[in-house]
Amino acid sequence: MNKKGEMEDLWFVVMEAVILGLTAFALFAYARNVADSTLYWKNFYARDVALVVDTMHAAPGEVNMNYDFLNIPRLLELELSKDKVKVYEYEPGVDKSKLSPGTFYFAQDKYIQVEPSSFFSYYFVLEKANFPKGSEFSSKISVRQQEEAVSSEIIKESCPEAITQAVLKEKKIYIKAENTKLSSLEAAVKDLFKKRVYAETEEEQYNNNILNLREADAELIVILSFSQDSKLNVYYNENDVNSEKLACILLLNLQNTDYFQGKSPSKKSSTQLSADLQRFFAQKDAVVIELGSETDNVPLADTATAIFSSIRSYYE
Amino acid sequence: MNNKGQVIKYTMVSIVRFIILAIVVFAVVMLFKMLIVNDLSVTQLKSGVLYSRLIYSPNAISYVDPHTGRAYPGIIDLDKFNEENLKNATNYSEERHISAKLMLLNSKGQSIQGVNSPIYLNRLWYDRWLPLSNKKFQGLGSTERNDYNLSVLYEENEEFKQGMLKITILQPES
Repeated sequence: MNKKGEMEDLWFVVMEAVILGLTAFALFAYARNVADSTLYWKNFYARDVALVVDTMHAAPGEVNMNYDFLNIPRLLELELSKDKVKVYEYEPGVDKSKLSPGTFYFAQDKYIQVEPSSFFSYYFVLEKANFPKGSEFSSKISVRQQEEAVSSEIIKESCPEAITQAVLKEKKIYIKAENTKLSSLEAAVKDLFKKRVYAETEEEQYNNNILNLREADAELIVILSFSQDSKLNVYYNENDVNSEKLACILLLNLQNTDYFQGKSPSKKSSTQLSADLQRFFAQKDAVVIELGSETDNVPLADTATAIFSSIRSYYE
Repeated sequence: MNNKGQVIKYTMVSIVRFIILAIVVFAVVMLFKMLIVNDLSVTQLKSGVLYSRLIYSPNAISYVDPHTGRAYPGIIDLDKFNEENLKNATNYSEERHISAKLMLLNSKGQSIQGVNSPIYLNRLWYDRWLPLSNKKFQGLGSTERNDYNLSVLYEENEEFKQGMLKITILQPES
């Protein structure tokens, strides 16, 4: 074989290697997905919830159904639309069109309205309520979900009393990760605000109050940081009861998560912080959360939910 | 390459190599699929849910008391026994999801005068899937068939008569 023939042979071998490489990559990705059983649970809950909604359509009266999840390894996000249920693995800040959901269809009824909603893989209530006679629809199917947060009674008993009640979506909250490793947590907390506080039409308000807020314009400052040891520390301003209240709620909620249980949580005075971090406490209600030294291991979804729930409880 | 014979020989060898490569890749993928079982078959359940909706839903074919709003699952309202009403009450936006045929007969097994029967839900795919519902075909690509026979009442000339509702539900095996 001459030089040209050798080149063609070489190209063929390269092509073979590329095809085998792509196949191996796809198979390993698939196997990894199956190994952590996320794919299974996405399909399982898409089918289960869709079939429950389907069954509810046939129920002639009003129905309330309490639905809870098994102890699954990943947090899932469920999307109920008028004709199907989609289940995604929870990836804050990632465009959903880039994720592959588990999808299952249910039959639509012209006379029954299904309220589109997005919720997470923990306890929720599925409700079918009748409309008065003469309405466009005979009934409506909707989802109600409560946060898994420390109850307001415990907060009231354990934390300093301060009147901080306000409408959450009107508050300007500056959330910032001091460490690039925690920037995904920052994005996850902000994403929860976007999904659970602001409607789709209120994106501009969300951008102004949360996403692109400047530190100088903030009414509340929450700084995410790491510590030299493995402990969970929340720093607050000793001269500000509001700051102490938020620090207290944060500790209660973070301790409530599996990861931070037993991590020797403590509430500390902001005077123990470096001068760089102390500046946040100068004129605003602020807290600094130190999430231990192994920031890579901090579970994103649980921690983000705990921080979000705390801020919401603070304004309730 | 020096001559035409060598070109042909080289092309033939390349084709054979391609085929072998394809077989190897296919075999590896199949091996993976065989070893990892991740399927969740809910075809029986899906069929049962559709059957329940057809029978129990007040908006489907059952008679509903206008005063109490109660649906009577064993009594067929002939005014509602048509494809348009069926589609209004059970409309799947994904047409390859499921299909059904509903046949209402009198007590002698004959069709009832003035009643358009059978009626279909997603007829296009019912007709396509029916040949595949034969028991000879099994596994992926075949059709799961579930038959239900229900003794019912229907109103004719202001009196209730006994009849038989035969429902056949077809859906792709997954």
